[in-house]
Parts: sequence; structure tokens; C-alpha cells
Amino acid sequence: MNSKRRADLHRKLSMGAVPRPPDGLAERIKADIPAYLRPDADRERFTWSVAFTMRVAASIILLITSAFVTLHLLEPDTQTAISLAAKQRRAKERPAPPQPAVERYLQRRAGETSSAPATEEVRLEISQDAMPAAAKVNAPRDASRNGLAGQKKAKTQEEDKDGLTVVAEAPARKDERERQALGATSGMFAPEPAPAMADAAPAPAAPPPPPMVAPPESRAMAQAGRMSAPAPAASSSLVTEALADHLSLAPRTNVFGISVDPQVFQNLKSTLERGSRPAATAVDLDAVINYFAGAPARAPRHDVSLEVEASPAPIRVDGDRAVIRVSVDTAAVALADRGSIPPVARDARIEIDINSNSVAHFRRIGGDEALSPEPALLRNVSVTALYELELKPRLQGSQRIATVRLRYRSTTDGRERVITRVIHGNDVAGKWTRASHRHRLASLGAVWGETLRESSGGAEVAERAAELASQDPADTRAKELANVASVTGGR
Amino acid sequence: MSASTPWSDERKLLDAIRTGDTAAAEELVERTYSAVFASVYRLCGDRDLAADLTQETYQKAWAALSRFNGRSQLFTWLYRIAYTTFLNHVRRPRRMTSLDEPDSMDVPDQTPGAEELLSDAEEAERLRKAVMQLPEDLRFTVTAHFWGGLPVKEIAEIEDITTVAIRKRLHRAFSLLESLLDEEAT
Repeated sequence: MNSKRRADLHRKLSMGAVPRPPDGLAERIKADIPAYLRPDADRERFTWSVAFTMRVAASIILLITSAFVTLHLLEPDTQTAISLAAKQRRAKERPAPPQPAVERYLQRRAGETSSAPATEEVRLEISQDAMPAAAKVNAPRDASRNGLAGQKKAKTQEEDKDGLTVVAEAPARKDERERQALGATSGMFAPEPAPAMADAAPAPAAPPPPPMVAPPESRAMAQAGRMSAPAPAASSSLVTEALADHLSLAPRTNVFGISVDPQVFQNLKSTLERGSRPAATAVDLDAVINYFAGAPARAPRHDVSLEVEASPAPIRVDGDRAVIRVSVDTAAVALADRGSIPPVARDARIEIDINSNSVAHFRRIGGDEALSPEPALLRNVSVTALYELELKPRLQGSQRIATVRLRYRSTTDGRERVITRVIHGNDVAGKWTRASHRHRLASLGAVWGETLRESSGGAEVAERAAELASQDPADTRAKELANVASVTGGR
Repeated sequence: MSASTPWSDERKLLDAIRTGDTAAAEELVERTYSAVFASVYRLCGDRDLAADLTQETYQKAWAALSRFNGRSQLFTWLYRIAYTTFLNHVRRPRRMTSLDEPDSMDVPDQTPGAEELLSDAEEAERLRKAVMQLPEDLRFTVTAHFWGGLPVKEIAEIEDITTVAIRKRLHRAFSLLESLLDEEAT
């Protein structure tokens, strides 16, 4: 076998054309990823289990603490009852009437003659007199629930009653306030005994503790007496924010920093039909590309779809040139008159990672600037960006050319999602004529736009567009492109 | 060029998959399925069958993931599975006929280059059939190197022989292919 035949065989083995994988193959493969590689379910079960265990543990701790505190608080009452019984017995034995506890205490304090047990007894009596029985039992529900708000309300009432702002307080009152504050903070003590509850028995079980500190808005609303619902959920706030800041009734003319204004092409067409040639600066290439790329043949199955397709360059094939199309489409929604377009995602951004081992040069057709993030991606949106790549020689089929990612946060569930598409050498090995209709039309439109800027060419575009139009007669854009390209190509 | 991907190398990607990271598994699919499909397509010459075999390849890969020792490249390992899956398929007598049927996807577009495309497709089909007639060791070496894009060193590692032996295999395969193609032409 001579070397020429060997080289020929080598070339044939290496360069065989391979069709693109069928649509949805990646999704089919991903659907087969087994359950053990999907830890979400286990994680949810574990989270639920931990949460349940934590709740049980918290309940037990709360119960034990409540029982301990209740017993601890009831203990002085018992001792007080005992001391009162002893006092009554002594009163029966002695003819003199019993002195009030405070007078006895003051007398004994003045004389410094009391013994230790007597002091203890007196102290208990004072505490009994100073603090009503109900103050030692569990908190009244209203006070506990209101927490700091109730405390503030009580304080406000006091200020209103006194008619002045309290700057300094008497120690006893200050202590009482501190005790109330402690009770409100810990949720275990009553901030202030309610008269109706003064003779009530202790509650059999402590109610669940109130929130430690209410958020400022909640506190403000509670003071205003309007608070009845919890704070709005995060997902609803996303929509609110998008509605407030980013929505407009008019369709977008710029998405990801790419012009998608369909009027641009109509203006160009009108200029050509009048027999003049548009100025190069009037040719918004992004808008032209997006006019011809249009919407996908089939509406996206999910809220957001990312279509990435690669092919050899349609016309200019000097060197190994390829075109990558990146199209983002959002689900369609029917709009009422003057209805606003709902957002489908927020914080959307496109990331394109070009493999420098495969690509010598690249550029975005239509603009040098990078794609900008989209704060609110609306429904009824189709946007396309085209990249021209100059491939390095001897590119292998399995070699990665580029990775395209679309990141966004869904407004449906608030979760961040990433759609990834990878372009390999095989994807640009086929012929341009095998690419999708959308891809061919968009790339031809781009070439036509560039020829319009450069004031030359267009005949070949017209031929290819005519082919496209014949393949899909229902697509009027291909016919439009053939017409305008034939006009500009003949000049 | 933008920043590197979250799983900048295969090792990290593999570790992430083994810890149950579904996103990593999906990333692996995105990175490799086109190449696996292309390899299988070149083996079988049928687009729909190649898609089915590619899907089956990944099903086997998930099941065998715990046994992958990481000595070879991830794609090499996937290619080996894809190749075995293809062989298992062609060894099923019921489906052998599909290899002799023309590939519907190779029917060219109605474009000016249609004749050229048809000629290319026919030549590719002849070559594919010739490769399929090679002995097993030569066939694997040729398909892995040319259709799977595996370097000689990688093939030598998975075949557990030297790179020189692989090159000898390729040389022998070329000679046999020439003979087979000549026989068909006459």
C-alpha cells in the first residue's frame, strides 16, 4: 500500500460527516440518571427528619423549663401559705392584733434585731404583698403574644395617663419594667398581670414561645393594630419587585443588551424599496439577526429554553469558520389589551466559555460588547446572538469548542436554574445546509446585514435565501431576505 | 475567554457525581453525549439507532460508575462502554439487518451539492462496512482512534498493550481495509 492511498484512507476515516444528535437526546439521557444520583429526595427527608426532631426536642425542653419555672414560682406561695398559717396560729395565741407586714419589716429593719429565720419569713411576706399571686403564674395570652408591642403599648398608656414623658423611673417601677422586659423576651414570664387573671390558676401547660423580636414592619403594624398576617413570602416579593421595577407594557426592544427591535428591518426594507441604500450606521445587525431568527418553530416546553446550534459559516468559508447561534426563548402567553407581560425569570444571564484550544479567534456578530444580564426576563421573548469562530486546524470531533450556559432564577418557585449546552467539533463538521431553518435564516441574515454595511456582496445571500424560501414557503422572512439581498446584491 | 467551568477537570466532575450531585451528572452528559453519539453513529451508521445506543451507554455508565477507577479519561471509559453496547447490539441476530439498510439520514438535501453528498454518503457507508469486517482487536483500535477520537496512548492503556503494538494494529488494519475496499470495488 502506497503512502498516498494510506493518507487517503486516513482522511476518509477521520473526516466522515456525522449528523447532529436528535433533539431531546440529552434530556432522554438525563432522565435516566438514577435515583441514587439524585440526593434531593434524601436531603428533603433528612431535613424533615431533623426539623421534626428539633421540634420534639424544643417541646421537651420547653415543657421541662415551664414545669421547673412553675414549680419554682409556686414554692414561695407554699411557704407564704405556711407562714400565714403560722402567723394566724400566733395571732390566736397572742391577744394583740397582728401588725401589717410592712410595718413589722420596717420596725425590725430599724431595730436590727431580727434573727435569720424571722428575716426570711418577713422577706417572703413582703414579696407576697408586693407581687400579686397572678404575677407569678404564666403570662396572660395577650401580653405574651404582644411581647414588646404589648409592653410598648402599656408604657404608652402610662405616658398618656401621666401626661409626660418618663425620663427617670422609681427603682421599684424600673425593676418591674425590667422584669416585664425579661418576661417578654424569654416568653416565660408575664410582663404585667391582668386584673381579670389575678385569681386565675396557673395554666396547665406553657403556650409556645412567641417570636424573640418581631421585625420592624411587624412591630409597626402591630402598634397600628393592623397586623394579622405573616410577612409576605420571598417568592411573592420577587414578582412584586419585577412588576415594580422592570415591567413595561410595550414589548422589549433590547434583551441581554441585544437589539430585537423588528422595526429596524422594516425601516431598512422601506429604504431599499424607495430605491436608496441605507447608511451603514443605520444597519443594526443585532436587530436584523433577531428579525430573521424569529421565534422557534415549537414553543418552549418549559418557561425558558436555550437553543445552541453550530454550523460552518454560510458564505465566507476562507479558513475554518463556524457560526454558533445562541437563542433564548421564553414561554408565550396571550395578553389582554393593555395587559402587562409577566416575567418568567429574573437575574438571567448568558455565559459563553470558548475553548482556546479549539478556537483561534471569535467575535459576536453585531456587537463587540459582552451580553449584559437581564434583571427580569419576560414571557413572549425570543432573542438570538450569533458568534463567528475561527477554528484551529486539526480539530477533533470530540474536542469541545464552547460551553453556553443560561442562568436564571425562576419566578415560579424562586429557584436558580442553569441550562448548559456544549458545542463539540462534531457539531461544526457537517454542512451548513444541514443546520436548522432558524439557524440558516439567522446566519444568512447576519451575512446580508454585514454586506449591507460594507456596501458590497449580497448575491450569494440572495441565492441561499431563495433556497430557504423554496424549502419553507410558509416562512415569509426567507422570501423577504431573498428579495432585499437580491436588491442589494445587484447594486 | 471566560472563566473556567465549575468542574474544571474530570476528576472534580467525577467526584461531584459520586457524591450524588445531579447537576454534575447532567454536566457530564452535556459534555460528552454529542461525541458518544458521533462515535456510535459511525459504528452503526443509523441516526436513530445511534441515539438509542447512546442512551443505553449512559444507562450502563451510571450503573458502572462506582467501578470506574479513573485511570483512563472519562470519555475513553464511556467510549469503551459505547463500543461494547454496540457490539452487544449487532450480536443480536434480530437486529443485524439494520446494518445493511441505507441510512435514512444520509439522504441528501435537494441542494446543488446533492450528488456530492450522495457520493460521500455511499463512500462512508462502504468504509464503515469494511471496518466492521475487521477482526475484533483491529476494529476496536480503528474505531476508537478515528471515530472515538481517542489517542493511541489511551487505547494502549485500556487494551493493556504498548503504544507500538497499537500502531502495528493500525498498520495491519489499514492494509486489510485496503484489501476489503478493493474487493468491493471489483
